Amino acid sequence: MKPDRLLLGGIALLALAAAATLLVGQLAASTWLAAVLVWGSLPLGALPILMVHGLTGGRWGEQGRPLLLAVLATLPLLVAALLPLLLGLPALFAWTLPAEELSHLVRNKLAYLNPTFFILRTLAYCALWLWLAYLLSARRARGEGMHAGGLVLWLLAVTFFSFDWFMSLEPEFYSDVYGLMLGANMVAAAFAWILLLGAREMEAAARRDIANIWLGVLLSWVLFAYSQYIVVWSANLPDEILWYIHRSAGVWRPVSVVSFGLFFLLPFLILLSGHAKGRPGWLMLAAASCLLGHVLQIGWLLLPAFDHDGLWQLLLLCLLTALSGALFFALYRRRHRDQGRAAREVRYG
Amino acid sequence: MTVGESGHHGLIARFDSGDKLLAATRRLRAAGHHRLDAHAPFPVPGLAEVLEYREYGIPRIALLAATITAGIAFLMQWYSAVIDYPIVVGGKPLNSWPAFLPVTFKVGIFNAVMATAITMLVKNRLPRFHHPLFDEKEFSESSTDGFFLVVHSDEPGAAEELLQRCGARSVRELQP
Repeated sequence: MKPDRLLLGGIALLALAAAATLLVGQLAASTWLAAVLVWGSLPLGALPILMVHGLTGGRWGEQGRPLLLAVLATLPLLVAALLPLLLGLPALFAWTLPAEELSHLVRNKLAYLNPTFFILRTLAYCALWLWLAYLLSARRARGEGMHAGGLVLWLLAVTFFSFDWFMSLEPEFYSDVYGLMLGANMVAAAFAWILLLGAREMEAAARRDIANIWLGVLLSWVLFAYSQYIVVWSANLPDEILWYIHRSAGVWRPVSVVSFGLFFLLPFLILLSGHAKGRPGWLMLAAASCLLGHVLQIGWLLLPAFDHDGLWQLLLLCLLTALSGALFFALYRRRHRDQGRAAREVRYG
Repeated sequence: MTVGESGHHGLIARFDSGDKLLAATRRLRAAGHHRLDAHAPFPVPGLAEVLEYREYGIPRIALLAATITAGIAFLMQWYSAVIDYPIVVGGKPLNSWPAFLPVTFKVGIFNAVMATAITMLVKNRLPRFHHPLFDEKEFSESSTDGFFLVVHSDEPGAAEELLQRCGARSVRELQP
């Protein structure tokens, strides 16, 4: 597959935009990070779905595969939009301050949180994801070993990625389950995406299977998110509870409720009904609600770490999500069409 | 099992494949026989639709049981923590609802499962010690390679003839 102009142009544009936000300042750079992670969650969530299907098989995966591969093809855009931010770590990460200005707790974490190691880790995650995506989309991944190993590596990479790019924005905070929560969030968003765009074309039985798996992923997300909350809330330790206090102040309070309602509660209530689960219209409504909630959720996880007016952050998040999303969506559409053409060529020779 | 007006307990027909069973079920329904029951070693695709088997009761009863009992569990915790024995723990408010959620959830799930299992048994008319089908020697093969259709009809003669024409390997009358 030769690289096309859309992909290269998208990579160049997003990389330039990322560099530009760094020049503008922290507000722009941090919101840019949130916006590209909103979109980047989709290919990152598509990876494990494809690998699980590689292990289990089943018609749901056959139906979802073209959509998932098209989503996965947008992974280079995430990498392009993320890597330039490595040039401006001090704009984003408080732990890049001189050691004497940091609290004792954070100073103890500097063996892990230092720019060199951070940059190497980020490059390693990106290389791993691109490699897995390449294997999966080139259909070279035949062996079950690759799928099983890939799943383990994916989860480890997502866990450490979440520690680095999400959690270390507030370096005092630490939560074990954060990576699992973010991984479930990504997979749920990827399922919502393929249901939103593909529910009408899928076979009824496969669509119901996908909806059921999606429900399972949403439930595991709520388990992870709640278990983190209940542990932090019960212990009430200053280093940890501050994370939630920042996220229930000002505009982030309603955002937390609305994003929970849109991302989990409304899709959950729709999916409870066996009747609605069989209807593309209901599923698309649930999926659209989940994706809207996903935008707010990523914003809620990342942006309260920065000391800016929450309303401006939200508005800017919507703007940047729309702008960067245009490129992600264009590439997705192109790849989805290519998939359809390739499938027809296989069928008719 | 219901007994027909003629003291007839129903016919049992055996077929060799799921497709034949499905086709026979379709023809009997078309001919106006609606009291049918099919037994197959595995779920035959389309059979439930042809028999117009729909299960609405269990999910609704389970949901109802879960919401009501979860609500009661939450209220009990709220009542004991806020009204009956108010005690401040860790400087948190008396109505610390996040702490009530695990018990609420578990009580809800437990009762949903119990309601599902009990409703399933009641709807299947279980427990039951004997059924005329058990006297049928071949019937145990419905768990290996037998496909059976049980017909209750006011015109057993017509039903038997139709079953034969559908390619039944055997048609027998059930004994009480």
